[in-house]
Amino acid sequence: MNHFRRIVVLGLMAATALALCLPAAAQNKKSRMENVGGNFFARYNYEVETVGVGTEGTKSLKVWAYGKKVDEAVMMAKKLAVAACIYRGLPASTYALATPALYPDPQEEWEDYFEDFFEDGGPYLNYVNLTSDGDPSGQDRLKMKGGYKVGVYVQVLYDRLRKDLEAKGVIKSMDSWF
Amino acid sequence: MKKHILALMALLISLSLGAQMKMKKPTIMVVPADVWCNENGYMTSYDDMGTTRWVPDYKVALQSNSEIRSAIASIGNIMADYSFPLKNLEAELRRLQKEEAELSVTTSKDSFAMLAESPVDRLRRTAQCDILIDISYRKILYGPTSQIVFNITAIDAYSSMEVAACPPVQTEAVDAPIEILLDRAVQDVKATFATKIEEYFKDTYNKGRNARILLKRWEDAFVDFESEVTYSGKEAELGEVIQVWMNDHCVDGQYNLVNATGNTLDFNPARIPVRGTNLAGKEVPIDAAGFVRPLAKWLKNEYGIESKVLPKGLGEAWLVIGGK
Repeated sequence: MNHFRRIVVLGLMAATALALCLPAAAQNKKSRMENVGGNFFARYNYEVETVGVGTEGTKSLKVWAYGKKVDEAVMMAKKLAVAACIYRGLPASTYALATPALYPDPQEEWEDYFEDFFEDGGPYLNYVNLTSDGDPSGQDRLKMKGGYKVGVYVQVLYDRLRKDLEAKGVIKSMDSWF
Repeated sequence: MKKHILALMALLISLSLGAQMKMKKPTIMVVPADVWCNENGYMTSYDDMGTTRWVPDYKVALQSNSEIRSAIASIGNIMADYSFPLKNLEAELRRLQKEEAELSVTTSKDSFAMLAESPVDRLRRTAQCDILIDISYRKILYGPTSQIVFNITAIDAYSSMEVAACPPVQTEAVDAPIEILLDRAVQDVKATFATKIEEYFKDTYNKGRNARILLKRWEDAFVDFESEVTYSGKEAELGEVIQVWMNDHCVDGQYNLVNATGNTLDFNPARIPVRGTNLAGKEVPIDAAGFVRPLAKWLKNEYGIESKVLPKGLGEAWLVIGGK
């Protein structure tokens, strides 16, 4: 009888453990999906600084990003610079006023579009230029546990990005109200 | 049940049609701020019944100051870039001058009669727009370093409400022309400024246009706004009844009555819808006059009061009761 009771208790414990683990596993899977999803950058904690008034519709920024290797971190910095212009806007600095986000309210319908947009080597590269030569060095290259944190100077073609997002229908143009 | 479904369908259709409908496009013009004109000596005076009034002399300012011209051109460029070309102040002044000259020499071939023009027509022949972008800047020179502090504000020409404004922008450079510094300042404010203007358009679209609706009476009118009339079987002043109409027709019943006397009712601002129906019953974008015309019709049908609608622009209309 005792043996039977032990089996029942163990069974219940196993079922409880399974019940607790399944949602967690599902949640992890969901998080992973979100991380690779197009709107992942909307929730990113940006380290972006406006370093000057860009000319001809550009924005001059310094962006910090992480990566296992320096070149991976630099690529991530480029993505973050474009993503900051789209989702978060750029903070004010002593050199320039704040810049509002182009698309502050991400909608699910454009999730796939931005997923493709931000994939490695994706269209986001059309809107960003590195303005510093070579890999970051000195204080702009920090060795961390498991990789690097780098700070790079970039130029984002803000106006071109806005116009292309308007043309795609992601955001409304000023003229569209009339 | 069937009735409910039909009503729901009608609502959905009207909503979808509404979503596709556009509103009337406002004209925007960039002008030097009064303070800038005053500081730089571009003011002109005129005699207003014994009182000397000073007003900005835009024509002289644009003809003699290349810096302000370049700042206006820079803002024109950015608005064109946002698919919203501006009305050019200089071109508008030139057009008015040309029109003035043409009007003064145009005569009838048969009778040599001049064109008919009332004092009101003459008064209205001025540079007009719906939104004014006011700009000013101050130059500070430290040896070879030039510095400017630039200000920009957009104002609704009718309700005088601020449409968009940016904090003052300071730019400086060594040995740089002021025009370059002004362009840099404009580049700096452009995204923020354009976004605020766009938010204003969105607000207007969703919550109605901020308009000024001014009601006056001819001095020989048989009624005034304090005359007693009957509304739904109750005695009330005409002004009160008109307020009920405004409440029914403004978006969410929003209006602000700033002046109410026997001779005047001044609604400023009133949130008027951006769409209405035309004579053919078709839904079209409307301006303030398009909003007021049904009121004129209602006053005539309900109380036999004739009135005249005077359109003053996209966001302002006057209604004078007591005759045409």
